[in-house]
Amino acid sequence: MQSITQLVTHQVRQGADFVRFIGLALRIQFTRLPPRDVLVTQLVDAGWGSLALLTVLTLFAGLNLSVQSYGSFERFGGQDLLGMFAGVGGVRELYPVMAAVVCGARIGANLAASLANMRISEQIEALEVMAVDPVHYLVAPRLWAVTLALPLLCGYADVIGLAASYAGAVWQLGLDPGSFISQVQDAVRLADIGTGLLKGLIMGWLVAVISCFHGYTVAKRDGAEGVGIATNLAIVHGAVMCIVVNLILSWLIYG
Amino acid sequence: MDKLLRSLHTLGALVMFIGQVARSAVTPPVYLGETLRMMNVLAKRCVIPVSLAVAPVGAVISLQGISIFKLFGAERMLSSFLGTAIFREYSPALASVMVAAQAGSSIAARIGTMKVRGQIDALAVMSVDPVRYVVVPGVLACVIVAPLLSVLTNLLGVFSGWVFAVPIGGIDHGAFMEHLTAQITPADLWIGLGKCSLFGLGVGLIAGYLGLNVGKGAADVGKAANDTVVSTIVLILLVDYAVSMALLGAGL
Amino acid sequence: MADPTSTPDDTPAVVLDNVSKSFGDHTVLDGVSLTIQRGSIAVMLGPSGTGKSVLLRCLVGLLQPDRGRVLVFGEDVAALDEKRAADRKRLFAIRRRFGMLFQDGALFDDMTVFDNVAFPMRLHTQLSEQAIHEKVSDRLARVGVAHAEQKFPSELSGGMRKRVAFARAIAIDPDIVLCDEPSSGLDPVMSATLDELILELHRTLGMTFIIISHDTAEARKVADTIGMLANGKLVTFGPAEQVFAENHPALEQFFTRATVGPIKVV
Repeated sequence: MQSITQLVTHQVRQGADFVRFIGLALRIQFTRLPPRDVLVTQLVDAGWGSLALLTVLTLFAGLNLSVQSYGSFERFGGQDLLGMFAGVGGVRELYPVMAAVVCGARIGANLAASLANMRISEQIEALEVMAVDPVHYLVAPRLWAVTLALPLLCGYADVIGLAASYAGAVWQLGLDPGSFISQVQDAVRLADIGTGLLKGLIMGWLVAVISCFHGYTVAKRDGAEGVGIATNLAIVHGAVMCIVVNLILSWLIYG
Repeated sequence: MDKLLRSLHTLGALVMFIGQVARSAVTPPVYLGETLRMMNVLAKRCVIPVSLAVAPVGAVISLQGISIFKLFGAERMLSSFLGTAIFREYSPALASVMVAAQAGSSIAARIGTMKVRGQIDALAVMSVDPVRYVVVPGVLACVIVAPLLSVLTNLLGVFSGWVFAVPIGGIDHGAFMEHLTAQITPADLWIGLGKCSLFGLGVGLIAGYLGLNVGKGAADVGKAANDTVVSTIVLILLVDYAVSMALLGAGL
Repeated sequence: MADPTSTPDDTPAVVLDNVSKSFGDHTVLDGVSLTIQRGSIAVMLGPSGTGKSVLLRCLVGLLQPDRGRVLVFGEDVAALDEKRAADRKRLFAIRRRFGMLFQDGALFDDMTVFDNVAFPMRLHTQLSEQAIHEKVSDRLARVGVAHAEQKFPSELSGGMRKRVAFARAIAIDPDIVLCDEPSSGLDPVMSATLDELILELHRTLGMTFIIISHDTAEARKVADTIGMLANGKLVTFGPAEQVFAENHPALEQFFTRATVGPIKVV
């Protein structure tokens, strides 16, 4: 019983710390410009560094979306809906979420691991002694970089994913290409793409804040173990948060 | 050329590692207690994140599906699509992705930390085979825990889909239930669970391999955890696609 | 500006006035008072876990003491609250007068040796890139790692990492250099090299050094002022000859490596 109370108080305390960290991050992010060279490095790392992974994943996610839905639709004779389903489901939901979860896991784990490592090897203290605000120097550019990179990645995922769905539907399942394309054109509006990018923006910021929080607040004495735990928490909390926030956003927008 | 050689080398090492794990898993001594402990730890750690991640998928399918099905006056068929999509595809794949995120990264981080701190060498000096004692229990635990979690997420996914289809979407409850059970076959369930075990195996093997082959510092532990998640997610999607194609070909 | 003879002001570099600090119910500093003059090399000795490191962090405001004053060139660091903007500015101004050598170097992993040493110059000085280049080369030459400019910290040995960290600590001519266990993790020859480096830099640049250590050989070699912390209290403090002559039991225990004495093994 006592361990449950302890667990609850620990969670509550961590929640309070997280809220405080969000406040700090927002203030630092929007009151001062982040250091430019760090921002550029982080942008390249988050955006360019995720491209290969995202390409492979959306390629297969797009193919899967066609092939798997075909199996389900076929049972009640709804194969003709495939283009519409692949378009709407992909652009509105699957590709933004995939980009956020997968790139978020990669980027977030990197952020958490690098910040945690800096904490335990006293690099963050070294910055403070050198009269540099570590939140401004380390956290702010990372927040900006991920927030800017994720919507772009979502847009890229839309393109690759739709192309892969088309390939799956037309070349593998032998559906009519003209009908597929016209269904996608009918179903996917510009607003849908915009919503996807907006989702990417919001989820990107949240992933960045969560990962920076776990990495930055690691305790020095936890050593290598602390780095592992911070990485793990960043990945898990980031992924869960993306999926839950996606549902909330979809509900608000399409519900 | 150099890069190719290195990739081949890694591939070879991975194959040897898998062989070693396979041999250790079927020959005594099997550390059953350690395996059960790992299962307990993984199940406890994964159940909340996996549920939170998979449950919304059913809701999203209903949310987006209703409008599409309505165009054709087929909204009563929604549950049939929802059921098969959840049982066969989304629940296994997503539950496994979350098992990779939670269990995979924590196994890799744990083994990596042990390696960095010299505990793996300490085990070897005490003539305990690290693969047998540290890696195999993790792999077995993943293989068993992933499908169990998938059973739970199947139910959660269908339930959240029901919430968004019936009370919120206005579809008749009777029609929803009728079409839900009409289209799901036992094969769907078994295929889903089988995929989960397969993915779990991949998670455990990759986490063990990357954990044991960690670099020498704390930063490398984080990298091992990260690489585990990224490579298992890629693997899950690839295998998922291959399995889907094969099943489609076999008419299942 | 680092040369103490050129500043007419003779306020001591550091004054601690009755400083106490606890973590939970564990008291690590208990009413510590001391004065360190400009241009001296002060070595604070003490067993592990007696708050030496905490003392160092109080000086630069990384930790706030629970009670007492921490005067750095006459300004009370303990009274500055990092959360308030005005205080933060003054705290940062004070921190610029410090250089710190961390226990494991704390070099930035993602920067080369050159960029690590150039980092404080680029942030806090108006020097041109050309001038920075010359100054970094000078600093690296002083610590004897001029050949490693373009390497990354992960490619260096422990001794080299520490020397690069030293170069970074003295990069912008600080008035006070803090050293956290400079000899830990180094072999005797490398620690002796580092000690000579401290003496050399002190002679040529005239900075104040505050060193925490449990290496008695190091204390004998470099210190002109010695203090000893045990169980959170300052048991002895003063000019090196005087402290050695007085030979406090705790200090004697430390120097003779005795297991029996005022310092309890926990």
